[in-house]
Amino acid sequence: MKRSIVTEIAVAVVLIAAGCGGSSSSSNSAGSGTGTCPVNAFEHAAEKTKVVVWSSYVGKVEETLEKLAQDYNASQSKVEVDVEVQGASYSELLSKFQQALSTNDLPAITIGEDVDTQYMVDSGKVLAAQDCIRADKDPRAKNTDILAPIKAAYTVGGRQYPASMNVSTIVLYYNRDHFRRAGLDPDKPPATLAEVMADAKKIKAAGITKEPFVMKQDPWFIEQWITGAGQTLVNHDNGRKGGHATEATLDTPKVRQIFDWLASMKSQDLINAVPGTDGQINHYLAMATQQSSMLLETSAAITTINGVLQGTFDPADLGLGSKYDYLKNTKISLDVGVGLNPGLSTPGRGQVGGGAWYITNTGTKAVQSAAWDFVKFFNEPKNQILWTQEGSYLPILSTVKNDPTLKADWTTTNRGRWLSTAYAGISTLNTNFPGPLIGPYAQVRQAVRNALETVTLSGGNAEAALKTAQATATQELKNYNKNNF
Amino acid sequence: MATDRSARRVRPADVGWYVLLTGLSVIVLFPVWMTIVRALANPSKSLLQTRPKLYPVDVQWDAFGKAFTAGNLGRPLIYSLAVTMLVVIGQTITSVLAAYAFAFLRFPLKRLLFALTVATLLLPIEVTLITNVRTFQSLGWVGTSQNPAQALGAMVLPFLATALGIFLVRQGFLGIPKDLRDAATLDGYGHLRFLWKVAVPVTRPIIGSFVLISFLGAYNQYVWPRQVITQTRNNTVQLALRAVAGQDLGHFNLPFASAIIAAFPVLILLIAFQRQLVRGLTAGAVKG
Repeated sequence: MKRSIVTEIAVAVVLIAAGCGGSSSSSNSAGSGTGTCPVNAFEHAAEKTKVVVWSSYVGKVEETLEKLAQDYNASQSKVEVDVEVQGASYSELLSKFQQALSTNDLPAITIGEDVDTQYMVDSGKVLAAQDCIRADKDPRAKNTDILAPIKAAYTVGGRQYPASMNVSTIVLYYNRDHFRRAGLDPDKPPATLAEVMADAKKIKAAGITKEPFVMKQDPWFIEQWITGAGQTLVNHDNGRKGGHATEATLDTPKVRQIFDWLASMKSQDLINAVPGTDGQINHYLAMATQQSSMLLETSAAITTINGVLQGTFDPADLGLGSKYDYLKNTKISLDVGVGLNPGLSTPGRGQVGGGAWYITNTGTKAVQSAAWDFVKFFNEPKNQILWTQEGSYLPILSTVKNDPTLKADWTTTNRGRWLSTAYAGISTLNTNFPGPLIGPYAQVRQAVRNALETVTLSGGNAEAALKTAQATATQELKNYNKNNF
Repeated sequence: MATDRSARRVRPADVGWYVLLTGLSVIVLFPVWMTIVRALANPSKSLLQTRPKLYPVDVQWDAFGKAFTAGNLGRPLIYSLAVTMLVVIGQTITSVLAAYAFAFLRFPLKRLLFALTVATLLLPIEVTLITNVRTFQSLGWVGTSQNPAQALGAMVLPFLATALGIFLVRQGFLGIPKDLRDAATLDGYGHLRFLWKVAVPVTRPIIGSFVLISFLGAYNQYVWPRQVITQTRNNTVQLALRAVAGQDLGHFNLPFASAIIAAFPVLILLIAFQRQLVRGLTAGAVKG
């Protein structure tokens, strides 16, 4: 009997689907860490020890990290550090890391996102830096004595896991001139969400901007507001006590209050909601073109924003020749101020954000110890000062915070004053409420993102959006606990 | 006798078509033009514009040089071209040979095998991504100590054959008149000689257009290289572009300039093969 080509294609599809069926689930067991750290093992290695660092930094931050790696390599002959960029975002890097987990061919150091801490611990593939700090007699190891709120955020089961961190927080950039023209005090940025709304209304009523508050739709802001209000994102004390979190706590009065505020801002056309896509810059442009008066963003953008919006750049920075000298110190007529992240009731509260340096335990003892040695170098005050100044990351060590060079910078330059404001936010974080530990953080974050975009971009109902986010996030937690490690 | 002038008289309907096509061309080319404008504009002055201008403000002719340097695009460009050429050559050879077998040879389960081959077109790369990455990891080609040869192998090997090429070329071969095949057989042509002397020359437009499609597909890849390349020195140009795109706000003209640099090889290829492309796309449209 003559078979038709359609039938054969259908048969082929079924065969292929059957052949492709079945998942290859990761079966890495969750090592809890042995509590030891092979300090100084590299010094007895027969050959030079290679330390591969995976990062997702680009631009100036990547250049600074490369420079520090080169400085370290030049300062000794036992270890060679090689920085490899594995993507332009934390999520791309995490994807590569997850792919490599099953092979155990991991870099010596991976610089992941702060939210990946629980996942990293659960993988059993990272050292607890606390063990290295305890085991190491080197005085430089004391430099990893980091600020209390930061240490609290990165402590799991009583041990600090990341060996170093790149800390940033959320600040409010605002146009002081707009405030002045609206009859508001330019030295008094709004401290709470209610004040943001009130100030936005005044600015809009004065005809200065149509949508005074611009915000990239990034769930990170929501998480900061939630933690800042003393509300957990998940149960089991935010995943920090009593085992892994099993249920989200998103559909709660305080979270609803935040989303109601967003919905109200949207309905009154007070908010310019910009999609939270990778590489998004429209929110910066809205401020630069004075279409908005207030912008919520990371403190890591301070150097860039200061350089561009304040117009204090040097044409040489852009590689322009002498014929462009007329642009030197050109003032862009924007008087921008920086205030603490407005909270539900108190400003500057939230959780530590940024990146974290994890030393993996799959390499040889020489590699692990060499990685630790490089981190000690990276954490030295002079290198941390460079890292702070070049990357706008906030200091994590008390010694760096008190450094005279940095103090001078923070009091005499605009950028420095802004960083000082951001630092004030970090240093007043509640050590007893450092934010959540969530294994499937990316998935829970996506649930929050969906709720956020439903309200601000689609004009949907906040209550319904939160109920959906609650259910989705809870399911993700259950899936993670069931399937991983 | 009809003159050329009367044969070329423009009809009112033609004017309408030209207007419509011109409008569509403007819409399609507008993003390209704005990319050029943004690449050439002074980034600081562009930031101050409340409405974007359709021409570059304070033209920066050295933007392309700066983008090339800032993005270290030289090596990634060469590497991308090398990978692409290897993939294109591999896909063309395997497609032609497989298409010949499916078009002219008789063997058991031919129809089922062809159906299986075509069915693979239904699978997007995301379906096979993890498994393929695991395969190369088990070979030791994707790891922290990846050398350039391993990176090249991981980039090229999975893509040396494609169902699309087999399907397109087979369709071309099926269009060869049976009389021509019979004549070649009578002249003593074997399979390879017939393939090389008759089948390939006759279907050159289709093969040419497939070469272009293959080039574009291989050159523009991002997901696969992102997964299998672990050393920055082995980056393709698309990975290098991603890093340039993360530059700070003060230099936002550089990503635009870098994208134009990266698009240059494709542009040259399209111009060179334009005729082949059009012939390949319209082959069989008009009954000969």
